[in-house]
Amino acid sequence: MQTYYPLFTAIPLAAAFLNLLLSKISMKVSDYIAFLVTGILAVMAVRMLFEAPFIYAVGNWRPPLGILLVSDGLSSLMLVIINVIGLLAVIFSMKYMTTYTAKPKYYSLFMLMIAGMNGVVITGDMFNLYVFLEIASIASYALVGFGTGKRELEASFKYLVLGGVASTAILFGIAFLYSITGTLNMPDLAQQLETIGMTRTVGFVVALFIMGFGLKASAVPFHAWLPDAHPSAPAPISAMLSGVLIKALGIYTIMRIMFNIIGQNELISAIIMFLGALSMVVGVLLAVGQSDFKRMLAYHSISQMGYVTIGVGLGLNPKIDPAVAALGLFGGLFHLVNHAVFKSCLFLCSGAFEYRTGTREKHEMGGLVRKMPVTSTTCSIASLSISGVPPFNGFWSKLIIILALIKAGYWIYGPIAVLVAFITLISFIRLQTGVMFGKLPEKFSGVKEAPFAMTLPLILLAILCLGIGIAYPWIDYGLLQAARDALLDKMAYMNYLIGG
Amino acid sequence: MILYFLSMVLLVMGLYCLVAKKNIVKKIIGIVIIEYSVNLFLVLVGYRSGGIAPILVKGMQAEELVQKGVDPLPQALVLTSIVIGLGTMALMVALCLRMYEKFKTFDMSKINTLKG
Amino acid sequence: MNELLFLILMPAVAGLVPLFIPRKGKIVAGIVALAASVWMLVNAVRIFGAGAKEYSVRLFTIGGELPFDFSLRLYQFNAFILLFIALFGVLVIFYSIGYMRGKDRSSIYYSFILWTLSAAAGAVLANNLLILLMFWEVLTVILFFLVNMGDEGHEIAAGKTFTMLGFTDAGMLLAIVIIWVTCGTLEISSLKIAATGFTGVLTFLLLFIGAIAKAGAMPFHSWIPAMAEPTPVPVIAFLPASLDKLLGIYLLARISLDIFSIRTGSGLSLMMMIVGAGTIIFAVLMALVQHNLKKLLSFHAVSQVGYMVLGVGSGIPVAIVGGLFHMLNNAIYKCGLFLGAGAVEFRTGTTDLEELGGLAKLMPVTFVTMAITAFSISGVPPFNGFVSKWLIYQGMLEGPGYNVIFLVVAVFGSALTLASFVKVLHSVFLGRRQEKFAGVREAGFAMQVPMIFLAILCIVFGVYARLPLEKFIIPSVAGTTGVSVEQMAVSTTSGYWNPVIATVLLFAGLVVGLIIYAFGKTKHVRIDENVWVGGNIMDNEEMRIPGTHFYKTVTDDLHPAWSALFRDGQEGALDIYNIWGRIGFNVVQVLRSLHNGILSTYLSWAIIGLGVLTFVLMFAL
Repeated sequence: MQTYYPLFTAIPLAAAFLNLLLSKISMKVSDYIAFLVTGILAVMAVRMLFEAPFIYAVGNWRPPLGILLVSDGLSSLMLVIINVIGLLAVIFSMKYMTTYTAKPKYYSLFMLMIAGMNGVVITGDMFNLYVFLEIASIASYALVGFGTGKRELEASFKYLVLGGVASTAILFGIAFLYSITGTLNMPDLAQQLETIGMTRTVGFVVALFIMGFGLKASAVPFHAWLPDAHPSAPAPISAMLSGVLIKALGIYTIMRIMFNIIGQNELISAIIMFLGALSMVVGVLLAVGQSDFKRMLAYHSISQMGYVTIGVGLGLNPKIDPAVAALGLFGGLFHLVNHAVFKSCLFLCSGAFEYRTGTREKHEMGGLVRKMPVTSTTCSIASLSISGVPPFNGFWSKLIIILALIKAGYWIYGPIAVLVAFITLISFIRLQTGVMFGKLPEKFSGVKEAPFAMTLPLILLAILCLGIGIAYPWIDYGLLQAARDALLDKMAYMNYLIGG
Repeated sequence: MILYFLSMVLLVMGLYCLVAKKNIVKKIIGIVIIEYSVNLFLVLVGYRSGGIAPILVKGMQAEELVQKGVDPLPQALVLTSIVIGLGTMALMVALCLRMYEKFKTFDMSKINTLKG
Repeated sequence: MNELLFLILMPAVAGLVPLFIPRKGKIVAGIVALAASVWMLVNAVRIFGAGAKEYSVRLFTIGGELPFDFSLRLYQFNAFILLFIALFGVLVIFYSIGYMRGKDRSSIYYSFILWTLSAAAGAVLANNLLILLMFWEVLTVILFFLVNMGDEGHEIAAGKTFTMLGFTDAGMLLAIVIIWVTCGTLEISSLKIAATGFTGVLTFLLLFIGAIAKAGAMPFHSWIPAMAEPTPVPVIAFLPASLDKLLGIYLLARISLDIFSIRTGSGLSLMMMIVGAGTIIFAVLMALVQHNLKKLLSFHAVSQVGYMVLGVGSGIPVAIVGGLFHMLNNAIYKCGLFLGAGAVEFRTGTTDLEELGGLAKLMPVTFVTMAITAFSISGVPPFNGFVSKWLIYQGMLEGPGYNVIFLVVAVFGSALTLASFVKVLHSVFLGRRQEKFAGVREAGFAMQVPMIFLAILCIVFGVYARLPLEKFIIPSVAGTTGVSVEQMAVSTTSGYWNPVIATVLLFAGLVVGLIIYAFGKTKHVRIDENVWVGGNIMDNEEMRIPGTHFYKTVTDDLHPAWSALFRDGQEGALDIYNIWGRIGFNVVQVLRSLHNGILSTYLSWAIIGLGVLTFVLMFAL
């Protein structure tokens, strides 16, 4: 596997261009290329879980000089999320995207986005990270505006401007880091910063990074683009953006930089936890008031990412019991995985409902459980998951985060997290009663179940929701722990410089 | 030092342009300005007063290059960053044209169908 | 397989079967469900006498220091609760086979009922608070889906139910996490927490709210009346009327007697008694003015919880026994009443009291069973409700002086209950029958059997009250209150045989109830002759006086402020669900107006955010 590591970005990049060329011959071929590529990537990603950590020096340059690719528990976990959800989104797209024209272009952008995200996750070089981040971002800007309607264009432009500011902030941060350390290699940076310590310049860099990556992760107050952008994209892209992109570009980078490069710090921890709590509360309150199915889901993404952020922030605190900090981080990572599963399921469900009924307004729908039983059941399961109802997966991760918060003595954040879980439940009760139950409107009496290519990913994701929830005891000691340990062990990360 | 300061001034100007100007085209220009401010900053990071191009020509000692040459890495970064900026700008301009077709206005403060 | 685990897993697995049976063959699904529930009942009976049992598996250790066990424990108390859960399961499924015929509902209904049985068994057997909570929430979720199988308006009722129970479940989760962190264990049988200090009181209150919301005491009751109308009758007879009472009061007894050891005279005990007494009186007043049979019954379902909370909360052994016995009795007669209401609805298509009337001759079995259960709930001897209420009154006399107030409230509530049920029997079964109901027949066999069975149980538990008391209730309570089984039996039975004051009060209550009924009745004249108005003979149907009008006095003719309270109560202005809904709505509107869709606003948030971050990180470091 080690020698094939760069293929995670190379394959989708190549496929993106090849796809456009080949589709000149036949439109149909792009479906197969996309499916094949994401399928291969998903299989590779799952195999990566069984690899021990290693580094890959691009072009055989000695580490501090050349670009480094790092594989550890965290990057393996992220790769699995990105590529598996990507595969399911592609399966869903095959049928769903027939309503749009220019399917090959869509798949090419999709592949670019995958390439960018994979690149962000595997790279061990600061500037390389920036480049991949921009590739993924630009592809996502274009995908948000793919429908080229009024709403799509407006959302895409807002996303682009805010995203552009964030990218600039990130690049500034990288430039500052380079100016004080003279290196871009992440393990090397970590080592250099160890000797420099937390100076004001580093503080400024951290501020820039929190703003830049926080905007990509849609932490309040940098969240405003998300509720516009995510609902405007085609449903599989919404699933990718909410389920994967904000994690790979936002939370992953924050975790990697704050844990492995800057190191645990009490102030940074307090700031990140505050942002997380703010996101949780503001996001969920706004979500309750929405009548648009997808816009509501988008606000919930902000709120659920707040849970992840608060867990990560707790893990960053060096002053509390390390076991509790590790528990918080574990909860955050677990919620990250769970959120990827249920949120992409929910967005795909919204797509399936929209595909058949032609609307996203909750109050226009109703009684669809009789007409679309599979979609409704999966939507119910994912709704219960996100609301933190046992025995589904969301329950465990929320429980662990709340437990860690109370155990660490955060007597305000803990109850807030419980309350937010409850408000999430309210809003998903309203979703279910509005869309699936109640009276079926006359105009939908002829509605049929969504086609198999669309229900298959839904079923798989719903099974994952239930499966992770029930099999939680076995996951505890599996991949999540590897990811957590990768983050907490800054020493090991610095040692990648000398060849792992 | 003054140059560093000027790149910051450029950044603030760009941000001001983004926030205060309503016209979409001006907003695009604002984005471009902040991108250039960060490019300028990157070049300045690698700059060395009286430095030479970081190319090892015939007859030059390696030590001499290390002492006098400017840092080549930021230059490479700036090149990449300019290319990325170009991509972003192209997308922005395309979106801007499409938006004009749909909304018949360049005033971004009037384009707020998505809210709440 | 372990017997305890079997009781949980068997119905859960059996519940998968109906999923594969199409809508048309749902009778098959019903039979499968019936077989599974009977099997469960047989097992519950078998392990009832077998003594205490435990089962525990270490699932994992969170964070390396908080062990998490899947542990079950069977002992006296939950063994009998389990027995009755299985019994109600059998009865309700039997009834459903009759009731669901002719209704267009899919066989998944039986899956939900079986899963409910499984989760309920899990909740009572659990010896770990978190396991208990998980089963508890599963019950809430299933109830949500079951309500959603109802008639028009079901989605609003289902939403309200899930929202209110979800809130209290979230509170319980917080309490459990706090207990976990402060005590390091979640094992119910070994937890002993002092109900003092901030965390002690907080955790107790959160768990208490969780328990009473499930049982349906005020102020967390409003989901029961809301779901009463649209929900299918077997569901409401099964969950809010019987199972949720058993579970809610079971948990209440566990926390207040075992975990927190609330003693007589303490502030928390007084608080619980006030909640209980308030529930009794306000819910019964609301019940008096209802026009819909199911809604009326649902308010009584709330009102009766008051007695149980009052009894258990008082901390006095006799009253606790009474409260728990009342829990059991209430589950029996309330289930019977709802099933009767379902039979009426099944045949007439309505439960509107103003439309019904004169069904006694047409539906004799339903009439007799409903009459028995109605007298039971009103506390008329010799039915079971009488015994348990009596024990509670008896207990009130033992406690501190202020208990007399609660005693009076309880007696008065009982009087109003009687008045209300006289109205029910009158307006449904007696009085004048409308023409259109001439062809109404008695309900089918499958629906009659559970009703008859429950009515007989009402009589048996009333006449031979010592049997359930000594077999089920007293052994469960004896250990926790520090009184031995023998002492308890003596004090209870002496209370039963020597009740001078209580008897006087009880009969006073009965008399008051009849007076209230008579008072309402004299306001209007019963008319059987054709009426003469201004020289025209009016149609009898138009001049028919529905039974509900008797109690217009209560709402209209008294003080204006009183009437306003009723109006508010009816329209839900006092309902905490609506109050918080309005507050939440306003907060959301403010936040939404901030997101005005203008890019510059969003940009300035980001830039200000960056500024604040920079300031904090550069200068506070």
